[in-house]
Amino acid sequence: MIKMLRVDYRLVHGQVAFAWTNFLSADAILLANDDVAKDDFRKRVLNLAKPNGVKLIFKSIADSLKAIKSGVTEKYKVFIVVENIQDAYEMAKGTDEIKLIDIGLVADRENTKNIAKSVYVNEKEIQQLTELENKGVEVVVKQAPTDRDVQFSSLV
Amino acid sequence: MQVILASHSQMAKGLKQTVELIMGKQSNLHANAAYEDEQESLKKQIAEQITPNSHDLYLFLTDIIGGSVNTTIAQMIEDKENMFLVTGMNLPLVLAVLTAKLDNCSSDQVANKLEEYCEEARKELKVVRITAQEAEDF
Repeated sequence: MIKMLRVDYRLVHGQVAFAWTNFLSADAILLANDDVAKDDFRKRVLNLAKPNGVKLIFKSIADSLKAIKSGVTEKYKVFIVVENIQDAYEMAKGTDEIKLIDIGLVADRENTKNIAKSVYVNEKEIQQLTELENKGVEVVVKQAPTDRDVQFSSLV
Repeated sequence: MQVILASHSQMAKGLKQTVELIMGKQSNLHANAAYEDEQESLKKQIAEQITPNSHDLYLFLTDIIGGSVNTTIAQMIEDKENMFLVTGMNLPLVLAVLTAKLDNCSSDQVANKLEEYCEEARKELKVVRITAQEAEDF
């Protein structure tokens, strides 16, 4: 089953690898990212952050969806990490298995507004996340697992 | 379970801040900086953190063996079955301890668990080499 999908531009780092994996009792981290999936050096570096006893799996967005649809993820407690909201949107549109999205770190870019600590979104991203919320996906904004749950809809 | 970090100067406080950036606020994590100017003695700070007659589990983590911080605490908790001391703390160790569930363990069980966490934390002190790894899949 899929425990959660997190948006984090730093991908797999201490907070994600340690605190979230532990909190979710995940036994597999799926890093869904088109660039990383074809970059062996980045994969090797990201493997440094891999917690003991947890699989770290790299796939493109399309291959991630394919794996989820095939049912191979069912016997795992999967924690998905994506780099940005666009990728989160594509993942959650592509499968109904993703029921919880955590907006962790989203980079400051042009035409974005700051809605929470380290979270910047543009109009398109607000629309995408609102659409997911309307389809029944819970979207929360929080950095660390013990931070308070803040619903995305309450911030925009 | 209460986790008390103690160090010469600011290491313990910095470690607490780093841990809380990663994991969020931890209400049972305390930090003591010893020998800073204008502050109570370490002994007094620690004595205030230990609730009198409490059977709560106390884990003390200090900076270095042979340091006076470690020696002071070792003497204070000498005969207490609910208090444990580990020295040479690092971030992996503090993270492991905070996610442990030790509250209903016997004194021996806690000691064994702590040995395990130390072993894991020791492994994480290492020279970083970026090596090829076999690709994992579901």
